[in-house]
Amino acid sequence: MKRFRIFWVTGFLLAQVMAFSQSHGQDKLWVASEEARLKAERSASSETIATLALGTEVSVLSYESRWYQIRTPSGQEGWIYRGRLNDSPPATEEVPQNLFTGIAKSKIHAEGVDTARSIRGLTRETEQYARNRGTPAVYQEVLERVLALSVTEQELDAFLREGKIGEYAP
Amino acid sequence: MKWKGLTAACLFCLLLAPGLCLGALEGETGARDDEGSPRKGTLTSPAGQTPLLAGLLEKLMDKGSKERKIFEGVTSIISSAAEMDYETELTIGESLALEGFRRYGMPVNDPALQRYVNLVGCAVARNSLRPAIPYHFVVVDNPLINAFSCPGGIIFICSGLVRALRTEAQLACILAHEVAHVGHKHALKSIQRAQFFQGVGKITAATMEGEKGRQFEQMIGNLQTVLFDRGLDKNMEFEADLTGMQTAYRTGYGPNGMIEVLQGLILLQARSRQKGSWFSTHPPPKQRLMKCMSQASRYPDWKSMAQLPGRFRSYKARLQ
Repeated sequence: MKRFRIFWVTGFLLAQVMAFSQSHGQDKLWVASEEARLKAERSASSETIATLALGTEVSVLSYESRWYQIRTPSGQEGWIYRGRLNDSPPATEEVPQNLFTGIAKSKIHAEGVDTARSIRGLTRETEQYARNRGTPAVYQEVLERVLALSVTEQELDAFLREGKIGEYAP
Repeated sequence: MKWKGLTAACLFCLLLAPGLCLGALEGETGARDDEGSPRKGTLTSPAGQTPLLAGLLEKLMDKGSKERKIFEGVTSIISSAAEMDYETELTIGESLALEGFRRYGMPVNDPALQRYVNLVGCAVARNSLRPAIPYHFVVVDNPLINAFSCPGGIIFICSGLVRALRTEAQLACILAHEVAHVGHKHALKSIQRAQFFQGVGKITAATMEGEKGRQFEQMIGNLQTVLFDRGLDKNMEFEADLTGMQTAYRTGYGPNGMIEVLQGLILLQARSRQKGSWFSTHPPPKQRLMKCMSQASRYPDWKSMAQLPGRFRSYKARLQ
């Protein structure tokens, strides 16, 4: 009997520890989106306090209507749209800047559909592959044009604002 | 780092120059001169070493030499067996994309439409598993119901699939599904045991020549078979569906878009061309629908998320 009691007490304590660690885990979230802005109010149009780096661990203070009130490691407090956070750290990886098109940290610059690529062409190894395969030049030119498209974060935000998407939803 | 270099040097010697391993190790560990001081910045062979070894070591010191490039490839396999560097991934993706245009045709000649699809795609990619890499989206002029992603973030969608959609949320879910494949590195996982990677961890100019170059072509050929004809493992597709729904939802789009797409595919399946389409490369839409429906409870406020049928319709009309 005594052995059973010890077993149950141990199990109960273990469950309590696990429950504590789980609830504690929910108090910590990670910035999982590029250009995640910490806002003074629960609104995309409010003042931007800071732009948080991808992978920043933040403490959750409260949650209201799709917005988290958080504290950053440097002690700044504010609101951030829920989609910018995740419950696990995101993949952070080094991408050589010469592999980006347009300005640094931009994604796509879509107006540039008809413009020639100004930053780089295909990788040297892809060009070698195309030579080995006898790939017609037209396919390489098309791919270069596709990769030349870039869009700035500002364009992306304007697009989301126009569609009232995410943090721009009423 | 030193040990990694030593191991790589050893492996290199074992592969290419049996019997010379000791000399290379001595060079790498810092051969000492007659007075016992380390020889800085040199891999000069110690006394008694063969001229062949000395020549080899000299070539290794030359950054432009073929031997040096092969050595770098061997070195990197040790550090990148688990993680492929982005440039290598992009070369695979670009090579596959060239074949994608050959197989599925040219981009739709409509800058406004391409811009729109890129904006939707980038919006979801910004909240994806790998938000730090650049993504590129292209609508190709092809009536098939199909979309696929190349490693590195180059994503194709056929105009036939765009025509079959009704809302921007549906488009966002499709693109988020493809972005999820890139995030999970599904295509790369399907070729990680390719013969090309035996002894090579990083693609360099030297690895694109001769036998290795042929193996690379074969690997891209196999990847085409997987992505264009046979399809990825069905569990990868289920995973991309669920991750895609979550990514679209985090962005602010209704994750119901994915469920609606799959419901539409069930209706379209009987009268659509199968070969080279989502129907032949993906699990049956009914199975996918059941998996997605099982996750619907995670998105209780989906009805209030963005759907945007009007904006989508205005761009879709450009395809008519």
